[in-house]
Amino acid sequence: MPGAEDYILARRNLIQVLETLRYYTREAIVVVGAQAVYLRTERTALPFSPFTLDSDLVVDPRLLQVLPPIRETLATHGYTHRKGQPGLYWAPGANDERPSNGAQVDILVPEEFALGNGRRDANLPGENGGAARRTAGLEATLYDRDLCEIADLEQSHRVIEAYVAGPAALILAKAEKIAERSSQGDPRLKVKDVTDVFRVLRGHERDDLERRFRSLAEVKDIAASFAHGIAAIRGVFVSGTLGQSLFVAGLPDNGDRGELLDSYGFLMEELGAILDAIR
Amino acid sequence: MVELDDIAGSPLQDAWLRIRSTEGKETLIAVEFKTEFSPKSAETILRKLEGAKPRDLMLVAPHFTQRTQAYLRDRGIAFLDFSGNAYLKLDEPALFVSAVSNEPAPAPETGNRRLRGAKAGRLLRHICDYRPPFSVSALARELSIDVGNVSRYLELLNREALVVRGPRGVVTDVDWEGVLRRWSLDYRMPVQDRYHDPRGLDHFRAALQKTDARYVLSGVSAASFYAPYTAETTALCYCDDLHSFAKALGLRTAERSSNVILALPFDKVVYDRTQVRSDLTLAAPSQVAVDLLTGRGRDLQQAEELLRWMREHESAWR
Repeated sequence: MPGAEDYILARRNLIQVLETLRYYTREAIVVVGAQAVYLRTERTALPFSPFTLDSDLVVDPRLLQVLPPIRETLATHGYTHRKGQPGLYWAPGANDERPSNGAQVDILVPEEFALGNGRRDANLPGENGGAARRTAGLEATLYDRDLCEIADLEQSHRVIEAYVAGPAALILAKAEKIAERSSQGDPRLKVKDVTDVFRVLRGHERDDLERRFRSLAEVKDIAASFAHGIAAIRGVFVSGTLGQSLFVAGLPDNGDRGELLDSYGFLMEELGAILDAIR
Repeated sequence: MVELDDIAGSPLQDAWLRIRSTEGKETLIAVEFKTEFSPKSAETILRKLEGAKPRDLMLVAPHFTQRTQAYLRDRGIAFLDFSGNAYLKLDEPALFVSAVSNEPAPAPETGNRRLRGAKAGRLLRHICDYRPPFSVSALARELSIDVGNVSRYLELLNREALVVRGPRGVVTDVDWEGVLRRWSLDYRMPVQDRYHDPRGLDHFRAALQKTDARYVLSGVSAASFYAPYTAETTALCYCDDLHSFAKALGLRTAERSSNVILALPFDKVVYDRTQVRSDLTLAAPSQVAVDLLTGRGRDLQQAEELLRWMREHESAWR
């Protein structure tokens, strides 16, 4: 179980990679994943500890400058590939022989905007072979996002502004991930993906969520992936039971159990109602 | 060995209790039966028995309140009630009996012995929140309660030694803590319902800070501003219309667990003498205390902590 030190380092790694990429237009980069979930819900108190510490960034190939190639920028600043995989990096100081908690950095491109025929490589334009990884389910993060201040957890004066994926996009991405892993019998199916969705729902008002989902529904560029994501949300959280059984497995063994379970039920009902409303 | 001798027709007491040890030491205890007792009536009986030492007397009744039990114990007067509370301390023969029952007090037999309803509550809140003296007519006038009712309530409180009355029945002193504890035995909210804020109590409190609807926060949530003691698990909130308030704040009706209780006030006095902290409207400490005293578990512990704070900081709320 990570300690406070690990979280501090993880946040610092996120800020460091964002600083490394500060030359590139801000709109081209979005913080996603667990760090985005926690940046969005810092004031939401729940008995689940956050324990993914890696930095996940989505880049928009339509906006990202081709020069200097992002591959080169990262390499110059000491980022090395993890196991030779496209888009997967170690922050400076860590590598395959010396792995470190919270030092994994993923540069991702939503599947619908990736180029070429590679299975994993996003084929970013320019001299960027292997620079980014194509991933399904992240399209909405380019449209549901907000500019946020990201501060170091210890040295609070150290702050950077960056786009962070919004709650609707995060829920779509998580649902997609769970649905995909479940259908493949992937043992990496994790309770924490469900508790992250729960955390996001807890931390945002219903009106805000509905507004964001409604806006996403109107973006033609992501229509196919959006529909896919909605189906995943329904299957995992709203009508299906997979989300609930994973959630129950993650509940603390104390008096809060009943309240959290009821809260889960109400929030998923609400999510279902939002999806119905935007049809 | 213990024998109970019933001496009929005795002008002084209803029966004798003879207690004899195996060594032959013996003592006689006068037994006095009554349908109801209060500290005041105990005093009257003692005066009547004149010359009888307290330990030679045992009082028996259907039920002694905790207050009366404490009163009698302090004076070494033996007692026994039908709920199972008992106390007897003898030197010769040496005997000590003490029993405390968990059985609740039986419901009072007549309506006017209850401190329930809007008028009673309004009066009790007033005499707790303000300092005496209080005259019957002034209370009746200020609180829009008829003089007869005011008199009856004050008489009940007087019998239980919770108020001191001077000439013409003016209340000169109030045991406000005793009043609150006594009130809590009869206190009921007219309507209450359980709800759930799916986003938790932090979210509910934030919604209260923003709402225009009239409400008052009580229970542990409010007490934590006056005398923090325990974390709240359920918020208690009075409002004018449960259904519309719940809807406005996004609350769901709770099937299993709930984290919010909405209640209709028994009287508009619930909205009086409130305090605002952190943009939240809190019920007066006396109101919060009686709400906690009708709860269980942590509510009761918080009640004790709040009452302690109220004792130590009377000028902050009275």
